[in-house]
Amino acid sequence: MDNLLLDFRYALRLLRKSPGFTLVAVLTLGLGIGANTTIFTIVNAVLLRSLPVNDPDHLVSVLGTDSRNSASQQQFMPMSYRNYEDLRDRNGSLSETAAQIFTGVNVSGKGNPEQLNATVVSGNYFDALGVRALLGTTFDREQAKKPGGYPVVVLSYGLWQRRFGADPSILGKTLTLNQQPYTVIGVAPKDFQGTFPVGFVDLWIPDAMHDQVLTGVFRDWFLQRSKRMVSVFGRLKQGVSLTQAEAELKTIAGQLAREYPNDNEGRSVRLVSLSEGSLGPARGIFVQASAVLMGVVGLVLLIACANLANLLLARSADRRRELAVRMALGASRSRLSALLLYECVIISLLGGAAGLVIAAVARHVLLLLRPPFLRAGDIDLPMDSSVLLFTLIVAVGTAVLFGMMPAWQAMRFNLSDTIKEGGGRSGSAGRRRALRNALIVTEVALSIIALTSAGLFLSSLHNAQRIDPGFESHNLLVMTLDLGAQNYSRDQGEEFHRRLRERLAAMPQVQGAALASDPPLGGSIARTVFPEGVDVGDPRRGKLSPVIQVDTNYFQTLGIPLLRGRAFRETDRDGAPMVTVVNQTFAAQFFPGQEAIGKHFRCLGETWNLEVIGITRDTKVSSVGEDPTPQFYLPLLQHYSSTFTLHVRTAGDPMAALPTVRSAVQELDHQLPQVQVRTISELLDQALWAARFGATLLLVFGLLALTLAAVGIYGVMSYTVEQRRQELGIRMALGAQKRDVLRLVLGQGLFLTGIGAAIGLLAGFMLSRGIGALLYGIRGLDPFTFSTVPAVLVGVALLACLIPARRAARVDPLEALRHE
Amino acid sequence: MIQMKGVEKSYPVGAGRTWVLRRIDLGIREGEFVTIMGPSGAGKSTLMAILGMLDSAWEGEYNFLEYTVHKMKPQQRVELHKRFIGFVFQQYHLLDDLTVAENLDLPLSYRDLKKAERQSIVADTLDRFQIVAKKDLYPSQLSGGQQQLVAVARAVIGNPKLILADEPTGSLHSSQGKMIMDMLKDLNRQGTTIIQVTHNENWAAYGDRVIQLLDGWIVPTEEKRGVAREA
Ligand SMILES: Nc1ncnc2c1ncn2[C@@H]1O[C@H](COP(=O)(O)OP(=O)(O)O)[C@@H](O)[C@H]1O
Ligand SMILES: [Mg+2]
Repeated sequence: MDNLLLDFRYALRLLRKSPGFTLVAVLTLGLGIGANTTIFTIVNAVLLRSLPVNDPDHLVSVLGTDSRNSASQQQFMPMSYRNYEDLRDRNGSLSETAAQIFTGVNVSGKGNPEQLNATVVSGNYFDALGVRALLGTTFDREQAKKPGGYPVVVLSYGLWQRRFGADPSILGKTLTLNQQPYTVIGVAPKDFQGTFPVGFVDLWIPDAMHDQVLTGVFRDWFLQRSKRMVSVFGRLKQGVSLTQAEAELKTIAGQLAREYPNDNEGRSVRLVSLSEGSLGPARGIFVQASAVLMGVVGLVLLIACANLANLLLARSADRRRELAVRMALGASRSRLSALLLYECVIISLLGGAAGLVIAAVARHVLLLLRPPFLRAGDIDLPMDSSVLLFTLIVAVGTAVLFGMMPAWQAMRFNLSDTIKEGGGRSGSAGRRRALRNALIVTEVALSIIALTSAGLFLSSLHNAQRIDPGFESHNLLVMTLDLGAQNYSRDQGEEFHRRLRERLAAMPQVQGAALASDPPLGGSIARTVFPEGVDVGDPRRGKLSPVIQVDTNYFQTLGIPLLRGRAFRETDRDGAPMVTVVNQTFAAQFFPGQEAIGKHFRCLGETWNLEVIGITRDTKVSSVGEDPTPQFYLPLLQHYSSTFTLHVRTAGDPMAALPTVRSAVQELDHQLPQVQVRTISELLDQALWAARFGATLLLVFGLLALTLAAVGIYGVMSYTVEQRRQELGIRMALGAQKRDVLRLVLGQGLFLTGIGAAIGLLAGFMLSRGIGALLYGIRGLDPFTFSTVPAVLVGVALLACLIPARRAARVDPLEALRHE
Repeated sequence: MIQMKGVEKSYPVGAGRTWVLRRIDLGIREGEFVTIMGPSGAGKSTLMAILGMLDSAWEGEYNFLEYTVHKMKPQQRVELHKRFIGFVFQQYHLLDDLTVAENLDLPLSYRDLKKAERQSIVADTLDRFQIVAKKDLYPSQLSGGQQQLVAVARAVIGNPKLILADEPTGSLHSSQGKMIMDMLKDLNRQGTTIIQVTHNENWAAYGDRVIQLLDGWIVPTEEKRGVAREA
């Protein structure tokens, strides 16, 4: 024990004596560990961290499935409120079964009119989660049973801070939501953001108030059994496993399908843990993306380790004499190994600390890069105990990784070898040289892989940016308005539409304005479609297609070309025959090989018989990268929507026209919040957020890997040149010129780089096939990546070798040979 | 062949300079075998490096054959060195990682010779020095004398007009030393000019004359003695 302390202190003293070495080592390792900790912080926050609720491991998501739609994202569907009620009342596996639905609500009265993110929840929501209010109480489940009779809200901590200045006397105050008064009964705890890892909930409202707080189709459909409206989760009873509960709930879902075949045919449920269920289909992509990122930062760390191993190798060669003396004085080999390892452990721990500092800084940068739909407080990337533990494990792991090799090397030397060092061809020197060469090859290969993934994501981003969304992507302003929340009747709403269009038409900056139920790329409600000839009575025969209600100017304003037939007219209104315009893919899917115009189709649960009057070119419906998606359009005058998106086509910069457009809306209704005001290019940017975020991170890490590898190559080559001084001097005395020496050193460096690059490129190619699902439009060998990456790497390696090579060429043979 | 006039060499030390060679005047004719002697630190190796054009940082005049060395650029001096001069060192300075044959090939690899040409020169040289059996061995597998023999072979392989041997026997037993000296004498008889440094009077006697160096100066009496013997 005394010895241990002694050796430890000796190791510490050695490090303090060579501050340059220690600094470089700690910094290198700090960058490697910091990159890992940073990415782990995200993974931890989104995937691993458990919700700040009571016993989160027993919470499960009850997801809707549909045997007719096996596409993976349709396995994460919500379910109808009626089915939820029956599931809740009939099951014996869950101690609580809760439901929630997200909606925007307009808040008016004191302060700006704005739209808040509300979660409408069953009365047992907080009980199911085991979350207590920070101030006041949560919902009373008995009172929550009275439809329309429980106008209360629980505020999120963030909203309480932001809008109410953390008013301690907030309880009992009234809040006007969608023109109705609600009493504040509680404020949720600070860390509770709802059931999602990324929270943006402003307030919770009991579902007793669904008729008051929901608008449009959400209000109309809320109690219809065929309409999937609510997300359901529950808490497993003690002793019940997830599989057992799933079996029971599936049985009940089967009963419901038999009891209500028209509504529930083909529908069932499945159970996953709440943390998995709440991310939905995004989880799969997130897991894959995390794997890529963790992989790349892992490479960065390995490169850092290789650099460190090289530093230590050089140092241990210098320390051979010291070790020999210690051994001659009776130190055992194991004690010497321990001595070397202490040094590594100290460096690692310091590196880990540096990594934490780097990660803490990087965290702020990441928060700035958050997706545009999140506000600053919506996402938390805590440096919690898991992050600290992860960092510690990584640090200690790296110590073993980079410390073992030099320690083992140092252990293999023998005394007599060291004493007659200098003469003859020494085997251990050869081994050390081979090891150093292997380090270069490894570093190059690893950084090629890291750079390849960055290159692939950059290519993918570039491809995505060039994808034609199918609509005009410039000079368009969009904003969403919810008239339903302001209690407009349909007549009042249509009057509002008309006057808004008139006002806008009169403005010189405005070239056109159109209204639609949903914004571009916003996705929309999907209906089950039955083309003519298909039995509507058999729901299994129908297929889902998104639908959007649009006005007569829509196609023209958004620049969506009509391929055949006609667009909607003012006469396509109530009382006239029901018509629809469909996109190419819809026509091809539902009427294959036929002329779709003049054909009819129906929708599940509706009496409509829609006639196809026009066919448009495809547009992207919910994401830029999606495959061609069917979509059909209905005239807004036949299918009123109380929530709508205003699209304004401007003559010049849409931002310049924004103030006048805003005031036009305000003059019609100054209480109406203008939500999600964006230019179309912002919207497209947003749609590419994930692609850009991924590409940015990977580029940063790729460059970090490249830098570390360059430093590594430089270090090895410098050391090699130093070792070869005498040899170079002899060569010069025998007639070698500067360029011969330059060629010798560069040749060695580039030869090793070439081997590493070949290995790295092969691995990179396999990687590009493995992560194809995350990439837009990349098939086979991506020419950009697989030409740029090797070129950049060879260029950098050349530079890294050039300085040592030039130093080698400047070796003075006199000096080199004087070593006697 | 060699005409030096007022050659001086110094190193900066602190604010001033220390002189290693002072006003060296020296003449050596083609075919001579000259010995340089003097205590350690006298500047012998420095003078050899200047003679061999490994060092170009000095003042004075130096004419080598028909070339005015002091007016040439360092690059041109390296060319001269390559064409006309071979070096033998006390520490042999063979490359540990190369075989005997590869070590011999090294100087040729820095001259514009074809591979086949080089191979035949190496083969001839191995033969001439009777070390064919050793050609695939590494230096560490040879005795000191054998190593120096290879080093001499390497020095002559480029067919130099001048061989500079800086204490070639300094690390050898006397019998091995004699073998090397006989070898040098042989080369001299065949027409190669040789300048050697040695501390050993016996080996000095192999030469035609002795130049004594002391603290960077040439000791005049020895010079006269050399001239007298030539006369
Ligand atoms: N780079 C240098 N800086 C300063 N002094 C040097 C340097 N190289 C050699 N010297 C000095 O030059 C003197 C002559 O050295 P050298 O020619 O090797 O002597 P010799 O071969 O006669 O023993 C010595 O005193 C040595 O210390
Ligand atoms: Mg000397």
